[in-house]
Amino acid sequence: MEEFTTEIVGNKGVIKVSGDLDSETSGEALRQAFNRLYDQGKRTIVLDLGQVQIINSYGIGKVLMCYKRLKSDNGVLMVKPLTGFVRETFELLMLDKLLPVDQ
Amino acid sequence: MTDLNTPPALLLAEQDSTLKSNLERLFVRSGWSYQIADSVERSLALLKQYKFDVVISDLCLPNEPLLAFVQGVKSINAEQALIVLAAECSAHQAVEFFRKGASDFLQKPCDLDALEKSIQRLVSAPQKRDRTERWFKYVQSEKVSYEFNTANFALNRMPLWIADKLLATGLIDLNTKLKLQLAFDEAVTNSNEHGNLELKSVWKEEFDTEGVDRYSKTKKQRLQDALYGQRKLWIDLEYNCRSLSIRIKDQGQGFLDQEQVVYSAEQGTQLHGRGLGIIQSLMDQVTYSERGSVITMIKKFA
Repeated sequence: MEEFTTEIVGNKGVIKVSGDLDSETSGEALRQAFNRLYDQGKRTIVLDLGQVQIINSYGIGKVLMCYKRLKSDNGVLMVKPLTGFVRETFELLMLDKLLPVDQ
Repeated sequence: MTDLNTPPALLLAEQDSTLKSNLERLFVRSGWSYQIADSVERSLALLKQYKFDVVISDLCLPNEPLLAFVQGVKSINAEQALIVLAAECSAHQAVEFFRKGASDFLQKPCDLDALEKSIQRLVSAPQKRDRTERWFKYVQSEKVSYEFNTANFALNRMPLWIADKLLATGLIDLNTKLKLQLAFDEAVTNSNEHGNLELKSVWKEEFDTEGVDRYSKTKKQRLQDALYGQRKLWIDLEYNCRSLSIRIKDQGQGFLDQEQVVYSAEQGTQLHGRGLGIIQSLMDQVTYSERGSVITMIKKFA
C-alpha cells in the first residue's frame, strides 16, 4: 500500500507526495495522509509535489477534495512551489489561483 | 572514453574484404580518420574506449543479430550516429533498424556516393533531425488499432508507446510527450468510466457511512457486471510526419451536455469536466460524435 510521509512544521502539516498523482492508489495515499494531519487538528496543510511528474484529473480531484474539506472548516490548503509539468497543469486549470504557495 | 581528437572519426565494423578496401579509399580521400573492427565484440569494445562521430556497420550477419548489434551500439551511446549496410532487406526490416536506433540504412550492394553523403550528413547535421528524415524516408504513416474489454482494461495508464517513438524520431520533445500521455489518459478514462461504466462525477462527493465514495463503490460493482464490464473500448492511433491522431470509441450512452468547458478559479473546484478541459488545452484539435461516445484528438508537430 502506497503511503505519503507527513510532518508538522510549526502550525502547518506537510504532505510529501512521492510518485505521480494519477491513480486510485496514489489518490488513496493522499486521502490517508490528509486525514492523519486533519485528525491531529491541522487546518493549514501543505502539499509538497516536488517529486510528482504527472498529475491527471483524478489526482486533481483528490487535491480539490482536500481543499474543499479545509475550506469548509476555515482552513487552507497550500502547495510548495510547483515546477515543470505539474506547474503547467495547475496553471492550465487555474488551480494556481486557488492554492497559495508556501515558500 | 578517449577522444580521438580528429573529427570526423569513423568506426567501420567490416567483414567484407572487398568493400573494406573501397571504403578505406573513400575515408582517406575525404580526410576522415577511422578504425576498423572485424567483429561485433571488437566493435563494441572500441566504442567503449573511443568516441566516434559515425559508426558504419557492414557486418556479414543475418538481420536479427544485426539488429542486436544496433541495440548494443545504442546501449553504449544512445546518441551514436550509426549507418547500417545490409543485403536482402525488406522495407519492413529496414523500418526495424530505424526502430532500434539506426541513423541511416543502405542496402547492399552499396552506392559509395550515397554512403559518403550519408556520413557527411551525420557528421554535419544535428542527429535528431536526421533520425526524423531517415524514418520518414521509409514510413509515410503508421496506424495501430486496439480493442479492449472494459473489465480487463488496465486503467492505470496504458503506455502511449507511439509517443515514445515520436520522441525517438525527434518529432516531439519530452514535455510534449508527457502532454500526449496525459491527454490520452484523460480521454481513455472518460470513455471507460463515464462512457462504458456510466459513472457520474458527482458521485465522487457522495460518501457512505464508512467514508467510501459512491463513485469508487459503483465502479467496482459495474466492472464485475457483464452489462457494463463486457462493453468494448476501441482505440485507433495514427501518425505521420505532420500530426498524431487518437480516436477513442466507447459503447456508453455518450454525454448529453457538450458545452465547451471554460475554467475560472471558482469553476475549477468542480469535480467534473476537468478531464475534458485538460484534453482541449493539450491537443490542437478535439472533436466528438454527437453523442460524445467517440472522441478524436489531433496533435500537430511543429
